[in-house]
Amino acid sequence: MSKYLSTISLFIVLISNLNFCIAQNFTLNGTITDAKTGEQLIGAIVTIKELPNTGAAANGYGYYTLILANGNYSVLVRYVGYENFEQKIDLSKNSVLNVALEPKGRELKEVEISAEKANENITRTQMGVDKLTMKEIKQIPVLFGEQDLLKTLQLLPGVKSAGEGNAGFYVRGGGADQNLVLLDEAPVYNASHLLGFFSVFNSDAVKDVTLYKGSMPAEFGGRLSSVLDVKMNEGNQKKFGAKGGVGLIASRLTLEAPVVKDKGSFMIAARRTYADVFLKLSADSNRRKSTLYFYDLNTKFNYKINEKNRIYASGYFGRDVFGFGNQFSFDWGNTTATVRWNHIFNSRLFSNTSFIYSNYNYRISVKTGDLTVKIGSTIKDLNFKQDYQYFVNNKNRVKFGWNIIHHTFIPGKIAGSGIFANAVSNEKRYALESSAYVSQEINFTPLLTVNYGLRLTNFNYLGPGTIYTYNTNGEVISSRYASKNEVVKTYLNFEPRINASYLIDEKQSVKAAYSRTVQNLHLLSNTTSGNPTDIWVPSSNNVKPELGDQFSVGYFRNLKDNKFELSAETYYKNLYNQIDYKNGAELAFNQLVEGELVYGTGRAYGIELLGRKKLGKLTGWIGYTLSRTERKFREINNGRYFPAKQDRTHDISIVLMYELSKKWSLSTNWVYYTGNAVTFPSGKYQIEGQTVNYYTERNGYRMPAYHRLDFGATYYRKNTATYESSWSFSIYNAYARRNAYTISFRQSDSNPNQNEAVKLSLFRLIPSITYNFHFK
Amino acid sequence: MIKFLSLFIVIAFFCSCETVIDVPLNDADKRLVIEGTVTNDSNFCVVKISKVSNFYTSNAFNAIANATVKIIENGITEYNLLQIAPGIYKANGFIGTIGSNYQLNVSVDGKQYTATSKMPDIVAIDSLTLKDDFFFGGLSKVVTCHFQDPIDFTNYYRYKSFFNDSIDEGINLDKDQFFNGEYIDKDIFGYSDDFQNKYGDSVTVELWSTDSKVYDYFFTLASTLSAGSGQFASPANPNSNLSNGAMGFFSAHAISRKGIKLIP
Repeated sequence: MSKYLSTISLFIVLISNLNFCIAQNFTLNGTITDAKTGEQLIGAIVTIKELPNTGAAANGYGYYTLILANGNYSVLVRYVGYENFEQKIDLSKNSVLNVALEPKGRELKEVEISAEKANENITRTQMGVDKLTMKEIKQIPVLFGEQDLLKTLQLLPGVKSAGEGNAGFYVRGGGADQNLVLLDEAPVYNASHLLGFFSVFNSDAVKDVTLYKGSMPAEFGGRLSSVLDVKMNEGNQKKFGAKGGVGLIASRLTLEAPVVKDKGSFMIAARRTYADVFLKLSADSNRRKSTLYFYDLNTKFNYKINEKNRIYASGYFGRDVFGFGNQFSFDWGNTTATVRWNHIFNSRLFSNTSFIYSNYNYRISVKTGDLTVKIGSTIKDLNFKQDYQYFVNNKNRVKFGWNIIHHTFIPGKIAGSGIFANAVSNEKRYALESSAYVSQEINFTPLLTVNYGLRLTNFNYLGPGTIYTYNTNGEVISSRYASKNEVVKTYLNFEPRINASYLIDEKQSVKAAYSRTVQNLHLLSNTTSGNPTDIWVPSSNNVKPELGDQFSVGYFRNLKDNKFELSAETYYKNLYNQIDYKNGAELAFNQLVEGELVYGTGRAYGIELLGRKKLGKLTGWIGYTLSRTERKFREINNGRYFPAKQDRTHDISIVLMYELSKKWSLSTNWVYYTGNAVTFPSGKYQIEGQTVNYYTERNGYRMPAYHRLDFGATYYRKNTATYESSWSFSIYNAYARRNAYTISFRQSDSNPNQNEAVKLSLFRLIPSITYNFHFK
Repeated sequence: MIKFLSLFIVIAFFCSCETVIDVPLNDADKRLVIEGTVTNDSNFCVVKISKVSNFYTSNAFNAIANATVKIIENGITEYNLLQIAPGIYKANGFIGTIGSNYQLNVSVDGKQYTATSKMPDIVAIDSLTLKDDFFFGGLSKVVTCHFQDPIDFTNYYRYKSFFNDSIDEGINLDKDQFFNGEYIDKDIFGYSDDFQNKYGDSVTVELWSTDSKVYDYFFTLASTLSAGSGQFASPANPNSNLSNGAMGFFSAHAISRKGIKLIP
């Protein structure tokens, strides 16, 4: 412990020493918003024309600070999709400059001049960060025309889809459970609907999406491979607005309005699928009795108390419902709630305080005759988070804060009648996860910027509950009862993070990063596509925290006045305490589930190439990833490294968007990737007259390569200052390739004496049409 | 329009398509497969020996004819089993006794394979009853099997059911983790297609009491069988109680049996 304390004190000394010669300087700070709606603009860039190396990006709440010497300046504010704003100021005291940017109309971008300092990608310190604009998300064709930010993210290098039409994703060799998915800071434990075919994010309610796949900033923690930070819209502060869409699968409606003009607003967005409405029309009585839908609701409220204080409250509620008459029902979903308070202590110190609640659960109810069984599982978090941003000077910015999360796990609850009347539920589990972080970004020279930080995570596995000890075969050797709030096991982990960027010139830079990450919650799942009934378990006396080390290096270069961005990033990851399962492991409703687990290591490495065109009529990107992802377990494949399921050697995506006219825009994308590593049988034998497949090694085979072409087109029917409407058309899998969703090995139907391999393919040539409207 | 949309959704969600494809698979190492049972019923004291074959060859029992097979009871009495049909070994008049320990020794081409299993106490079926099957609205009947679970030790059960003379191939297991010492009313559903109960026919239910290793074998065999559908991330071979890498199992189990006629 004292080692950590001394490191922290060293850190504080370093930070305060860098706080030099600020006496004669003044601060310029303020908030950047959208002039039409009052929405804060995250990441808007503020620069000073006279000082080419001075600038700031607005934080997650649209807030920026600059520190300048006494003088006259031209302040330039830019943000993608908005008119530039320029104003002359005479800075002779600490000043506030709030800027409202005018959104650009939908016009041809042919003559658009590249804005100054459009080389953000070159100058930004952080590497392995992907940002998508909502415009891109709305334009790129997707399955059933249901805009989906998770599926669009999968088109970026280093991010891989969990499968056909699936919203789950893998980042740089990490598992699907190793991504921290945040919606207004609240973790979302199951980010997909309908067994993975749709994500929980209604894109009408989303304002900003950032994916950290490389070195994650020190303020984030809790997962090994990435952070997906999704922020919801605040709602129009100026006047009432409504937008929505009618699609083939689902409809959406969003309402927003000021509560007090220019001071506060609310937003409420709802979405529901209606496949079940059509099931009711079916001639088949069984199908009529079936229920199958999902819905979600996003709400947000914000109010600016005064120039220094602002509060936000946001919530998400979503559920999937499957059912059959009154005999069977199965529903699952997430609930999150976040209350935040932004406080500006002074122009240099910005603070955010959050209370967060997050819950994921599923319930299954089966009724047969006089017998009823209800089973369910829940994970619930209560979270308090305090973050500070301190602007020492333009070359030195510090972030620090702390966070405490109380987790409750209800792994399996059973209640019922008949023989299930006395069914025993699995015991609840509790844990307390606390962390503290500090990070600093310093421009050592105009060319060299370093962002470094460290995060301390303390994980307490708490009673009450029966604590089991297992032998190496996973058999219980002893057990004892831990009392309420007894600390059964503590893990203290130290997570250093560092990012450095060196600007070779205005057009090119090199960056390097190292990060350590820790994960104390583990998802147990043994199906290929993920399942609503997968359960989360905490680190415990048996399960150790998963650890990851990632090293990455990148080269970034822009061409033709920043019209083209090129980048090459390479990474190497070591993973420790990875989890797999014994043969035939019972994961659900097993009090002794920890005895079913085996532990090993992993490694992942690869190179990601991205070429992107951001300006002009034709925009888009080409991404290519060459990578390898392996795991090693003593119990599997004789302890040799074997490819992880998501090991895909090649992964290519091409995305093109073209502004044909004022009325039409077109888009297309093509993806190709190597098939997943899978286990196929290498023989067969007979047991009790049945043919049983014989397996030799884990993941020794490959699924066939996957590729697919999609087309999209948007027709802007009407576009005035107050009303906008459009039709979106898309074709998914345009050349109708039968991509393999699963391959099964079984007895032939036509000749029971023979075995055969059967490929299941899902979506071929799926057209869709969506109508969108927006009352502004 | 509604009709069109309805049609569309049906197409979109249900028009997944299956095609038989050619997937090249490695040739298997030719592991030995042993299926050995000792029961309190003389008809079922049989050891079947075969070997693994390549996946795309025909589904025949790949019999091993040159094995030496022995069963030792309680470490004392030796029974030599003789081949009565290709790959099928049996000892005349041999029948298992409840509570005894059995060891199986198989020798093929100079390699030895062994396993042990203890025949647990018999748990007797009290009665079978019939009721309507409400589940999924079908018209068929469900047979309920009634028995008392003993409280003193952990019991592992396997239910076997026969419709007229055809066996239901499904693997239906229980352990008394959730109902130790209780009186059990277990619904026996037909798992295979030809096991749809019809009036006038007869159903026989067997309740097998097995040891924990045999339970584990069939539990993992069930997941190996369902893994063929491609949904499981990492299918694997079942956990065998046999030594030397042989596939299969050796089970000494006690069988209790009852039959019922399906009467409207």
